[in-house]
Amino acid sequence: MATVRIPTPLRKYTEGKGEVTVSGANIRELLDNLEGSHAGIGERIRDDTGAVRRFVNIFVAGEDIRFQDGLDTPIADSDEVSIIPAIAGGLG
Amino acid sequence: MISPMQFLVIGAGGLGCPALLGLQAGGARRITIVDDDHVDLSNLARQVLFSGADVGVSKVDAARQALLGRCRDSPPPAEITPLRRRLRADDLDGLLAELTAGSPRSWVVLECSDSPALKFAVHDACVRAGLRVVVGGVVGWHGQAMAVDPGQREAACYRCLFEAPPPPELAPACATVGVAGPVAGAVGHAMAGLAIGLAGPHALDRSPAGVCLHFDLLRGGVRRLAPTPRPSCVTCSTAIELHGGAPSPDHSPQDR
Repeated sequence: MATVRIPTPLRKYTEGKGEVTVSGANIRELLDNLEGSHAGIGERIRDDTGAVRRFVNIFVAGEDIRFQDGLDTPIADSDEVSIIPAIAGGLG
Repeated sequence: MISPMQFLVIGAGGLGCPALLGLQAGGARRITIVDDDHVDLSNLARQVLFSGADVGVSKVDAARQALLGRCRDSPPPAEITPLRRRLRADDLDGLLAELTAGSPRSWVVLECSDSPALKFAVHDACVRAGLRVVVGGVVGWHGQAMAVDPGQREAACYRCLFEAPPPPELAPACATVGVAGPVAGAVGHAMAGLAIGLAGPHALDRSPAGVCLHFDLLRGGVRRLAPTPRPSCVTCSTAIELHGGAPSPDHSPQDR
C-alpha cells in the first residue's frame, strides 16, 4: 500500500485526512482504488477522458509521472505519491 | 546588500504585503506596486503593511507610505512607485513593455494577485517579455512559490509544471476554503527571497530559477520541486521563438 498525500482542497473527500494508504500496481490503479474508497475525489484529479487534469501534477517518490510512464508509472509499496494542484489562490 | 534591480509587485494584499517587506529586508529599493483596491478593516490581520489609520486609503499609497517610513534614514532613498489600476489579461503586454522600457533583465516581477487566471496570464506575459517572475499562491494551510527565468532554458517555467489554471468550478475560493494567515506571510516572504535570488547574477546552479517551493504548514513541511522543462510547453517554446534563448542586451554574463 502506497501512501498518498492529499492536498487541502481534496481533503473533504478523505474525512480531512492529509494522507491515506491505497493499493495499486501503478498510478492508474491507485487512482481507481482511491476513488473506490473516497467517492468523488477521482473526478477532481482526472477529467472525463481519464487524463490527469492540466492543473494537477502527480509525483511518485518525488518524480513527476509525466516524465515517467504517466498513468502507467509503477508504484512500490514504500512509495509516497503526492497529488499537487496549482495553488493559485490569493488574498485580495 | 542594496539591490540595483527594479521589482514589480502585482497585488498589495495578503501575499503582496509580506512580499514587499521581504523585498525591503532583502535590499530592494526600487519597487513598483500595482493594485486598485482600498484598505479594509478586515484586511488588517494579514495585510501586515497596513494599520487602522489606513482604512479607506488606496492600498498602493498606504503600502508606499509604510515602506518609506521603514527606510527613511537608510540611503539610498527608496523609489516606491504606486500604480493604482486593475490589471486585465489583455493589457499586460503593454503595461510590462511600458514599465520595463526595453530593459527586461533589470526587472523582477512578483505575482501576488488573488486570481488564478491572472496569475497564469501574468506569468505568460512575463515569459513573453523575457522578464523574471515569481508566482505565488495560497489556500488553506498550503502555499506555493515558483521562480521563473525565461533567460535560463534549463529551468522550467510555471506552465511546464502546471499546464493550465484550474477552472473556477474546481479552484477552491479562499473565501470558502479559507487561508491560514501565517501561510500567506511565509509564502509572501519566500517569494521575496526567490525574487532577490533571481535578481542576483547567479548561474543556474546558484539561482532559484525553475524551483517551486510547496508549503504545508499544518504538517510543517516545505517541499522543493524542481521540474524538468516540458518539451511541449507552449509558453517556453514561444519565449524561445521570441528571444531565441540568446542573451538580451542587458543580460548579465553569468545568465544563460
